[in-house]
Amino acid sequence: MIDVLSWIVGNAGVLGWLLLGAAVGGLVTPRFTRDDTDLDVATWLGALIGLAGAALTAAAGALDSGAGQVIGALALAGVLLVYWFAGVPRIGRRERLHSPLLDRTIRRWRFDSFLGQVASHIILITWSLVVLAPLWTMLVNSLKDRREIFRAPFSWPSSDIRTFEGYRNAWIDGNFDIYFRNSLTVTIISLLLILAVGSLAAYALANWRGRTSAAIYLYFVAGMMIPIRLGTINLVTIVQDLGLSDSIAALIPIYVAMGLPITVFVLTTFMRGVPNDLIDAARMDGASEFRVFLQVMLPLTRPALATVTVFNMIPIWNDLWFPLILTRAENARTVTYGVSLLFGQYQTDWNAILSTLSLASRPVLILYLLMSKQFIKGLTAGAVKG
Amino acid sequence: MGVLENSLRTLGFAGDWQAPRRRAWVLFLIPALVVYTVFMAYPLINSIRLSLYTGTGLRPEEFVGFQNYVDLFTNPIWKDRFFNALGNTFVFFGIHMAVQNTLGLLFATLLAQTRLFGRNVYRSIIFIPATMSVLLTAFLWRLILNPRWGMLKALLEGIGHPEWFDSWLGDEKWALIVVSLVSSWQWVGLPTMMFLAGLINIPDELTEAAHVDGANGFQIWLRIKLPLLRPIIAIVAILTFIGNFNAFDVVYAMMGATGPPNYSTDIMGTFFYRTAIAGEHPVARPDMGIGAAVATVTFLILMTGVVMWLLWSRGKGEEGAVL
Repeated sequence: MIDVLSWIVGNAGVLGWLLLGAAVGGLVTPRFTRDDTDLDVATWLGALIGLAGAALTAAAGALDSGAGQVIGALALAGVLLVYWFAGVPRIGRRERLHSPLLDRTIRRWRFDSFLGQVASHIILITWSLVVLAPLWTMLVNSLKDRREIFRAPFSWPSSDIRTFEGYRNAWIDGNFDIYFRNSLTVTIISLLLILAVGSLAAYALANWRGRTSAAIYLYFVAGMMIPIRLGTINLVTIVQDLGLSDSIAALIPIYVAMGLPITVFVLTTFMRGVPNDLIDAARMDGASEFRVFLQVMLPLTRPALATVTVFNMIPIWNDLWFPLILTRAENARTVTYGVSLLFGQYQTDWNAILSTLSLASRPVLILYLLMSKQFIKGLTAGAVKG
Repeated sequence: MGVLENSLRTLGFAGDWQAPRRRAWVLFLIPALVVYTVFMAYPLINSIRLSLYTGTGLRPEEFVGFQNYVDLFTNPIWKDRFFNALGNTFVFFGIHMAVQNTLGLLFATLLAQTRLFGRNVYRSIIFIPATMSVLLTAFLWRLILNPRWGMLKALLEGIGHPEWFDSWLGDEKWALIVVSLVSSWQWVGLPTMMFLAGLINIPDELTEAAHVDGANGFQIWLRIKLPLLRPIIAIVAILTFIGNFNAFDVVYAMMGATGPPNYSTDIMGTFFYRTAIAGEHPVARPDMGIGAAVATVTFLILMTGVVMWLLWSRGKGEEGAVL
């Protein structure tokens, strides 16, 4: 009990700031925006405020003085003011409703929904804790040594016991610099190829209406329903025949093939929605199909390309199956496979494992947070039209 | 160019005013078709062919007809493990449907309230685990559930009920359930997003009319929104089905390739890995023919599911059109 209590007391500051900042982001903006399109901006700013608050609290905690807390609170107030006046996109208040009946209905509905709102928040906050608590333990314990992990698993490490040893070990002794470079190379090249090859194909399929193109489209889209892993046995021999065993080059074409179905599906759907006038105008000017594609279509498709990038990056970066089977050699290992080896190697060196895990999860998490709006839009669009 | 043009003419493309453009489109399609065919379609189809062969090396060469399937279904070495893995995969799938997709529907319903404060924050948090490597979630939960140093144990001791804790991962009865729950924890963001998209796309007029008629929130959800969501529920179900029959990482990382304790967490993914890649006890040597047979059986099960879904959604075509 004492452990849990001391954890809450010790970390209420940091968590509180984070929650407050994020809540402010969600809370304030609906009042100013017409619809929810700009909520993401607000969430972002809110999260930034939360982070600033958390950093200040951490600094204040390091000072261990009341003055630190006061400074933190004042700084937060300052950030809030700036946010309120500069950061919030002001589109104008919702127009008033002039129908008395509708007005009454909506007012009654709002009152009814007050209790519902409270219940919703209780459920969602509970789940948020279930999601964030494990991540919190990973983060704080990656900064502690083994003894400290046992002693106080939940608390933020105070400055005298904080250690970056785990991160250092992972990076230098664990060869994770090589693994990281491999993962980045594979992911980036695969993504570029998926985008290039996939968007060309999607452009053709979006423009070419006919039985043949419908068949080719189906051929691609069928790949979304059949996992590429089922062909593993044959892929192993193909990779051998190409002389790519134990080389990261083996992974790239496989990931491109794996990513193509969803890419072709999303991009074709998107490109079919682009108004024909724009394309036809360029064709009238005598531009070749390739130039129309490159100079007219691609710029218009940018949002969908962003979606596809995130869509494909997550499974490629996190893939364990193909590195486990095809690239086990030291120099060709990816981060995900490298991490899986740690489990056996340092079964009890939790500090090292946690550090590596939190490092390995960072690129995708950052990309997701940066592009979450695009990503979610793409995901939802795909679901609805699929 | 001549060859391509000829083949195009035979296919009936050339000769009309759009011919040059079609040529461009065929050219645009070639790179994608080549990569996709060589590295995805061909290996899949060839795996089916390989399931009729046997051999000890990487390339099974001796044709044996359906012997691999007969072995898989009747030989005690394979039979027990295979049906055990198959059954476990259905349990795995059932728990995902019951927990992951139900929670997803609940969260989506809550997040679809346009006036809910902080809905985008919640939405982001719910989706975060889906961006993480399965290894990461598996290891984190292994630590949390660890009987010696476990956050959950400390927490239950904290609230005064240490007896509620058990080492579930070491228990044959519980291990598969816990692994499925961890996997549901990770992927609940996906159904949430899909259901959310479906709910948002329901026209306001429909719900407003019901409000004016005096329906309450729950009635509207049950009588208007849920029926309109049916096509999305079907898509989520089929995607969960495909994902679960393809699952491997979560068991491999949390429990190991043999699905301990005593094969109670062995699913099709780990079984396929052992037969085709790592070698199955007691043979301890990978058997590509049997592996290909396992892949083919999985493929057929998936196809059955997909075809059932397609037939169902054909039949309900009109409802799909609303969304």
